[in-house]
This record gives sequence, structure tokens and C-alpha cells, in this order.
Amino acid sequence: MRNDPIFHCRAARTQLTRWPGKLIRSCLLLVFVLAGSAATANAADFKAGSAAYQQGNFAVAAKIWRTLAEEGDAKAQYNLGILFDQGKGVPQDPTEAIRWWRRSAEGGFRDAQHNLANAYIAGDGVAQSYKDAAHWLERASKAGLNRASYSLGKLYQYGLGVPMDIKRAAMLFQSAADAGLDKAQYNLAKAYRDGDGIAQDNALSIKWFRRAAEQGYAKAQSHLATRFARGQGVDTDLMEAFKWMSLAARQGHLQARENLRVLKSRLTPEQRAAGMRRVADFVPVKEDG
Amino acid sequence: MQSRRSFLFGCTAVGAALSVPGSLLAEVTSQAIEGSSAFIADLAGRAIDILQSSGKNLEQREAQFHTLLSNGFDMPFIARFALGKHWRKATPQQRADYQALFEEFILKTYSRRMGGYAGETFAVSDARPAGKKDVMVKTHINQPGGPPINADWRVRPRNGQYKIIDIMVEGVSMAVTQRSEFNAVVGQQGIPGLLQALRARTEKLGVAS
Repeated sequence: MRNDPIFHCRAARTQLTRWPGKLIRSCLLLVFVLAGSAATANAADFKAGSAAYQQGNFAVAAKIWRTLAEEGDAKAQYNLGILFDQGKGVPQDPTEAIRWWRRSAEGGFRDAQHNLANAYIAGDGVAQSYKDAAHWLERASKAGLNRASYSLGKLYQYGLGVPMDIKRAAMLFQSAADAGLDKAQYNLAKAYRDGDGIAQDNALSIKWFRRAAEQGYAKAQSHLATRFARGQGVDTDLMEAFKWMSLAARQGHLQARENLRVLKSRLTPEQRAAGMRRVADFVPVKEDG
Repeated sequence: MQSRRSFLFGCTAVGAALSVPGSLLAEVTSQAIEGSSAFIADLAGRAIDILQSSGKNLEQREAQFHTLLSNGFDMPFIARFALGKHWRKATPQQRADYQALFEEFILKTYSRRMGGYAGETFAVSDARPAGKKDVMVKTHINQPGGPPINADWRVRPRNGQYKIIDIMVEGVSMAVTQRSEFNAVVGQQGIPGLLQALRARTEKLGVAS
């Protein structure tokens, strides 16, 4: 596509002596049009890369995204990093993944900042460093990436790469939880339950366990079940406890599996049947987070 | 791509060939071998169905693989094996966190690898006892424009049910590889370090569109 206008210019050169002014003007116009359409052309190329990726033609996607990445496209740099991280269409190479994510992250692309941070935590393709992880999570969190806020909250909670600060941790969990991230909701619920960095509040703890549980988050389902079994922050309700414990156990939650055995022995056959119906009726409702 | 039908036929032939006298198969019965072979064939058939389902994007195919693998693998067993001697030292909370994170990590890794295949065919070539309890089902994965991959599936039959407990790719055990890697991380950073690393890996985001 990009060759066509150049070709026209060359073809027109034979007539240079006859209409020099007109030719220069049209060539200049073409230059402006080309410069203006470069971004559109890149977007079209990027989409072609995405289409190839979705079809499983990773080598094609890698080729397209690499061209754009080398031109400085931060989103293409990020995607190319993923191909290297997972070995799709290119040989798996965590160091190359880091190189592209870093370029993208420095260009302000928040998903790249987030993945770079996680590579620092895991020590994949880069020397393990919580400090560098915290730096990049901080940037991605400020850019509004909820997952980064949550991960940063975990670093503050344990004092990894940053001074321990459970208040800051709770605030970060709160913002990601409000946005709908199940893990953040679960962590916020625990913070309310224990009064960690936030005023202790059983009702709010239940509210957040429930929100994460409704999304299908097994750990939250298991905790919510325990609250119902013990009547902590809610009225004791063994059938609700049974429902949530079963849902968590079905997802392979070990503690829930053990607790479910105990719970079952405390229910009548009728209660158990009713509980099973509640389990069957459950449909997780995902939030955007 | 090989159809599910011809795939299953291929398997029946393998099963018949392996109906050798019981005395040779000290612990694992021929029934268990045939069952394991059919189990892998069925799993591969479902995998082909997922790969052939048009109109679905890669993330949807990966999600379907996630469910398929979650049912086909004995995750608690593989997780324990991968942690090796450190399992005994882990607190109950660490064990629970580790199990959940390991499962998420493994399922994500494998469904990403498998969900991306295009045009590959599978064929079961052999099935024989492995150790006292297991069956090794050998398969070839043919990829267009590349050499075939030899993948062997270690299946543990139990009470008429079958679960995969290891994959050998080109003779390299994934479980053993995983264990040595985890062992190194735990040696340097303890179990909390391993949990953080697994959490970080499962947290990584996918491609932007």
C-alpha cells in the first residue's frame, strides 16, 4: 500500500519538464497524506497481527508486531514481549520478553508495566527484584490498572520492595475491589475482618467476601461459608454455609473439602438436598475488574 | 487435521495389539492399559473439537482447554510431586495457597500452549505399563511445517477413572523439570518466595487488542 504513491511519483517524473509546479505540489501532498496515514496504516497492521494471533498463526503475528515494535509502537512491543514470554511464533526467550516489555513500559503502556513488574517478582528473564517490581506496579497503578493496584497492595502488605504499610495495602485493595477485581475484594474482606490497616467491620467483611464469592472466587466462597457456619457478621445459616463450601470444594479448595465433610454431618438429608439445589442454581456473576 | 473418528479407530488397534497375556503385565491390567489409551484418545478428540470450533477467539479456546485439562489432570498429585521434600515443611495455609496457585499456573501454561495449535494432528502410537501403577500412552503430534512432537502421557488408573500425572515431551518429564525448578526457588527464597513467583506468573496479562 505504501509503495503505491511513490510509484506514482516516479511515473510522473517523465512529465517533470512539462508541469514541474503541479508535480511538486502533488508529491508534497502525497508526503503529507502518507505522514498522516502512517498511524492509520499502523493500526491496520496491528489488527492484522491480532487476527493472525487469534487464528493461531503466531509466526505471522510476530512478524507484523515486530515491524511495528521496532518503529516504536508500545502496544506492539508489549504483544511481541508476550510472544517471547510464551514462545509463540518465536523461540521462547524470557530475556527478549523483558527487553520488549521494558521498551513498552517506558513508553507508558500500563499492561507492559504490569507484566514487567511480575517478571521482576518471579525472576523470569531478569534478576529477581521486589524493588523494581514495586516501581513498575506503582506506575501501572497510577495509570489506573486495577490488577497492578492489587499486586502493589500485596507488596505493601508484606513489605516486599517497599516499607511495610498495611494502611496503604488496604487502600489499594479498596480501589481495585471497588472496580470489581475478585482477588482484591477477597483481600479487602480479610482486612475488614481482622482490622488490618482499616477499621474492623464484620458487616463490610461479609459484604466483600460475598462480592468475590458471587464472582466464583473459591477462597472467598470458603471464607463466606465459614462465616455462615459460625454466625460471624451474619446469622448462622448452615444451608448457606453448605452452598458456599460446596462451591469452593468443587473448585478443588482443600480446606473447603475438609470442612464440607464436617458440615454435611450437621445437616438433615432434607437440608442437604435443599443445599444441593442452591449449589446447582448458582451462576457466577463476573465483574469487570 | 485427523478426525476424532479415525483417531479413535487408531486407538482401538493399539488396544488390541496390547492384549498380551496377563503374566507380562505384572501390576497394571490390560484393561487399565486399554482404558488409559482410550482416555487419552478421548481427551485428544475433545481437544481437536475445541481447535476446530470456528468463530471462537483464542482466549475462548484457551478457556475450554482450561476446563478440559482441569478434569483430565490429577492436579493435587502433580502439585505435591512438584514441591517434593518441601511439602512436608509447608504450613497448612501454605499448602492450600500453593495447591491453588500451582493449579492456576499449570492450567494457564498448558492451555496457552495447546489453545494455540493450528493444523496439528494427534495419534496414539503405543501404551504400556510404567512402574507398578501407571500406564504410559505414547502420542505423536504432527505439526505442519515442523518435525512431529513425541509426547508421552503418564496416566494413573484408579477405580475405573483415569488421570494424567505427568507429560513427557521428547523424553523430558514436565513434573521432574518443574520439581527441580521449584526446588531451586525454595532453596533461595523459601516457600513464600515460590508462592510469590507463582502468583506473579499467573498475574501476567495476555495480548492487548
